[in-house]
This record gives sequence, C-alpha cells and structure tokens, in this order.
Amino acid sequence: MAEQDPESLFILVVDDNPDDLFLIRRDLVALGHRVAGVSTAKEALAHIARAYPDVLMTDVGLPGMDGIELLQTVRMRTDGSWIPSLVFTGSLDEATQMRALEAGADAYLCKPASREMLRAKLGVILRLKAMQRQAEARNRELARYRSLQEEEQRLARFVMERLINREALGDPALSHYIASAAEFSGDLIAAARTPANVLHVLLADGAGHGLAASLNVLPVTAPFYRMTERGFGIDAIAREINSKVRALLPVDRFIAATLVAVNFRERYVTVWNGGNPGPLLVRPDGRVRIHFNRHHFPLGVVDDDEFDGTVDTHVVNPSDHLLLFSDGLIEQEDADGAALGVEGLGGALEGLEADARLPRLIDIVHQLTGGNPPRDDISIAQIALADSPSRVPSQLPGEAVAPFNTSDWRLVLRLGATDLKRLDAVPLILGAIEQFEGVRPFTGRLFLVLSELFNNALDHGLLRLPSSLKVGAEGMDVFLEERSRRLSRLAVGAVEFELTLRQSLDRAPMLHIGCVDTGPGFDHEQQVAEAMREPTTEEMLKGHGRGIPLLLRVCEEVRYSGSGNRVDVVFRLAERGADGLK
Amino acid sequence: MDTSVSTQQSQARIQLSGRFDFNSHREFRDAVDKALGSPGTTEVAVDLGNVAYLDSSALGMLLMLRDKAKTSGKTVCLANARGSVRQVLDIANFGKLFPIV
Repeated sequence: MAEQDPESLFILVVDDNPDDLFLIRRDLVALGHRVAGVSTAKEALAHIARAYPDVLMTDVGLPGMDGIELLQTVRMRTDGSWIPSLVFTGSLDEATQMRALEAGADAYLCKPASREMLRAKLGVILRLKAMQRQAEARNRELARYRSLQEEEQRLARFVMERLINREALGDPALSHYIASAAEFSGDLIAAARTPANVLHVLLADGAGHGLAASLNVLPVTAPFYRMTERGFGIDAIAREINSKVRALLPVDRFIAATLVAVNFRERYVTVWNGGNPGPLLVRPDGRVRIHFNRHHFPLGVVDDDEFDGTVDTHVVNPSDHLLLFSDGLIEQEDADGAALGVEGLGGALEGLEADARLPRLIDIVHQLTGGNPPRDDISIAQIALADSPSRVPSQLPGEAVAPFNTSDWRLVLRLGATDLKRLDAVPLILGAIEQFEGVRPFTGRLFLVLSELFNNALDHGLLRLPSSLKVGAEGMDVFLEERSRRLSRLAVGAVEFELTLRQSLDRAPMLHIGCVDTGPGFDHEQQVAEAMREPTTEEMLKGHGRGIPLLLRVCEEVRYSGSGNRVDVVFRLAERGADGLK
Repeated sequence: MDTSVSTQQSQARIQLSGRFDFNSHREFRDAVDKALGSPGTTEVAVDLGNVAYLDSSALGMLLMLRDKAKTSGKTVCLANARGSVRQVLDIANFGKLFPIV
C-alpha cells in the first residue's frame, strides 16, 4: 500500500497551467506518489492550513501571489516545521533561481522536466527528509535523556546534600561559604571537636566539579568525624583519608585538602595542607600575619609510605582568625581575565573586621563571576581563634536531635572500705549524674545497671559471698545476714566507678560505665555465655543469676575484663528508634 | 523503702514506696508474711505505684513472694508498675511470671 511505502510522498502541486499540472501529476503518480493539485497560491495556503504535504511543488509564475511569495508565506506560517519545497518554472533566469533558493526552496526544476529528472530531484528531497527525521529522533532521545538525567541529578543532589551539607557547621567558631560551579559542589567543609575541645576543620576540594567531584569528597568525611571524635591529630586524620582516597577512587581522582586543628586553651593552631592554597592567619585589623605555605601532595596521590604528615604549628593570638579557602577563590577570573590571587585576597581583607570579611569575599566572588556560576567550586572558611563558650554539634536538617547538646562529662568515684560501710554508693552516683542534662529520663534503668555493678563488685568481689547462699526460701535472709557481718569486718578493698559521657555528631550519646573492685574476680566468661541465652522460666525462678542477663538487656555492651573484677558497660542515653540516631 | 499492707475482701495489698532494692529485704519479707497471713485472702497484689527504682534483688524478692504464695494456694499480681519500674519488669520478662495489672 502507498502509505506504507516510505518512498511514497504526499505532494501538493501548484500550477495555474492545467496542462502542466496534468503532466506533472501523471508523472508523480507513476513514480508512486500521491498528488493534490491546485492552481493558485491562495488555494495552496488553504490546503496547507488543513494538512501539511510531504513536499510542496510550485510554479513560479502564478496569478496573484507568485510561487516564491508562496514559499515565503508558508515558511512564516509553518514556523518551526519544515515542508520540503521544489520550485519549477520555464525560466532559466539566474535571478529567479536565487530568489527561489533564498525563499527556502530546497530544489529547483526547469520545465519541462523528464520523469527521470523529477525522480532525481525528489530523491534529494527524500534524503533531506530522512536526515531530518533522524535529527528529530535524536532530539527526542536527547530530550528524554535530559529529563532522565535531571531527575537523577535531583535525587543525587538530595542525597548529597544530606551527606555533605549535614555539616550544618554549627560550630560557633566557624563561618563559611561555598559557591558551586555545577549542581553539585566538589568542595566540602566539615568541622568537629575532639574530646579535648580541639576544633578540627577540613576544607576539601575534589578534582573537577559537579557530581563526580562531589562523590570524590565523600570518603573524607567519615574518617574525619570518626577520628576527631576519638581525639586523633590532624596528621593522622590526613594520613587515614589519604589511604582511603587512594583505595577508593580511581588514580586520576584526588582531593586537595586543608586540615587545621585549633587548640583554644593552649592557643595554637596546627595546619596540614595538601593541594589547596595555604590558609591565612589574619590579624584583627584584617592584615595577614602568616601565610601557611607548606604544600603537601593532595590526598590520594601518594602511597602511605610516601605520605608526609608534617604539620605546621603556630602559637596564635586569640583575636586572630584563620582563613581557609579553595583555589576557586583566587583563580576565578573576571570578564577581563583578571583573578584575585593570594595577594589580591590579602589586600581585600585589609582594614576589615572579622565579621565583615566573609560578606566582602562573597561580594568579590559575585563581582568576578558577574552573577554566573563560578568556573570552579569556591569555598571559604573563617575560624575564630578565641575560645568559644560551648560546642554545638551539627545536626541533620529536619531531623530530631538528641535531647541535649553540650554535655561532656566524666565522673570518677572510688569508695574504700570505710566509706563502703557508711555510704549508699548507687544513690550517691545517681544523685550526681542525674544533674547532667539528658540523664534524668534514664535514672530507672541506670539505677538497675549501677546496682548490678555495685552489688556484684561488693558482694562477690570484696565480700566474696557465694551466690549459693541465696538458695532456698530463707536464702536471701542468710545471704543478707552474712553480707552485713562480712561488710562490718571489711578492712581493705575498694570499688571504683568511672562514668564518661561520649557523644558524637551522628550517634546517640553513650554513657560508658566502668566498675572495678579490688577483689579476686569471678568466672565471667561462663556466666556471660549463659546469660546470653534467653533464660527459661526455671532459671528465672532461681534465687540468683539475674544480674548479668539484665545488664545485657539494658546495656549496649557489657564487657568483663581482668579476672572478672572489672566490668565496662555502655548505656545508650537515648530512646531507640524515636530519634533517627544510630 | 516504706511498706504497708491492707486487705479488701479477698485481696491483700502490699503498698511499696521508695527504692525497692536489697536493703528493703526485711521490710518486704515482713509485709509478705503479713499479707499472706491475713485470713480469707486468695490474692496478693503488690502495688508498685510509688516505687522509684528497683533492682534485681527486688525482682528476686518478688519471686520469693510468688513461691511463698503458691505454697499457701494464693496468687500474686503486680499493680501500677509505671515508667522505669515497668521497663525493668519488661526487661526481666516478668510478664510471664506475674499478671501485671
């Protein structure tokens, strides 16, 4: 059938000469095409308004609007879509041919044309049409990819923002700015404090920009936070990230990074810098006091044995500020190709007070880029070196926070024989720790934990009371009588409690409780192994042996060590599930 | 810990308040003897509503009560366990051993 033959075209022919029209129609039909014939431009336009032909063939000389004006009008009216057109005329005049081509004719034909010539000219148009169909198909495909990619980017950005920008960077000593060259920033700023209140700041710049660079910087955050939390120095952190990046990323991917540690109490800063411009120590009047310009390899370039963890340490004035930045800031060129450079940056800060500096630098970035996205990611972090009153852990936006944020404490209590007789240790400790923020909701369970630890240490550790005394109906009486007799005779020995609150940014706060006694210990391995099993009802009905199973259920972790005279437990100071914390 | 025992129809009620731990052993045992000894009762209810804390010795004492009650043909239930007290009972799986009302 004609419709299924891709070579078969629907052709609109415009010719005011009925004989010519008849001949052309005959030849076109013979070539397998379908033809509509009209004799004026006006009729042709009316026809096109109803349905586009595959090809428009028109005589030049027509009454009223001529063939070339017809082409121009059709082109205007079919704005955007293309109707291949062929102009034929008896004239061989070059000026007419030029007019026709300029009006958008795709081919030109002299009358009378042989059937073979017609076939050849239409062949040209068919090839053009085929090319156009291909181009349209590619455009559609591109549009589909584009929307697919936009959707994927949207999703990826959502995830990345939560992963990277969770460094809501709530630390009061830090202010920062990041401008991204692409949807995703390959720059990252993170901050956290060690248990000793040393502030660690990381400014990382992944090679390239966009999603790929953004992915690159992911391996740096976990070691940074984990090791800071444990109090490692920045040299060790840099070394660890270096080996992570080396192991995880392809050889051509690396990360420029500046790591600084600010020891507020001792008033010094430590800097490790690989691949970023060296940070600046800025005086209160905005002038640069020191430019840290030791340069290591970026992270992920060298193997561990070649890694250089040398840091620069400087005693600092608490009224100074430390400025960290990625190369995007000093290399961004304005319309005339001029960039800020480190000198320009130093000049821009002069005379500015600390609070005015970041806004000024953001202004400069806007001026340089003329409001467009920068050529490379730009990130800036300014750190106040004066001790800030408290640490504020960052939090995920929109996520529930642990019910407290600033506690960081440790309590050690050692009770010797004399005080063990006199004092009630558990309420003593509980009374003290419930003063700390966030503890009170857990006093019930903590009482249980502390009682188990203390009773075990005292009864079995120091007083060496066998559990077997508790057996039988009167067992408890026997046990308690023996207990008070032995306690009154206790001359040496001690029980020591150590309670430490450990917090990190993304985990529930954990209370670590250690209890040591000076007694001989017990066979903890077997008892713990037994306690791990779900107890049977008969076992629960025994007069003893409930302590360890209870501890195991209430605590995250229970560990006996030494000869069994030391026990360490970890108690979670947050309800499970309600807060989204690990 | 303070204890008091009252009787209403067939139920003897042991009311506890304060810290329920091994120091309370004697008071609790006396209360148990009194409750089980009251004539005409078939059930002992331990009211934990005013107990602030309890430890594993307290759990042991509740088990002792359960034992003694059984030999005298009576039942035991735990009443008004709330908050952390309830949690400790749950952690120890005491719901399997006592009706908790």
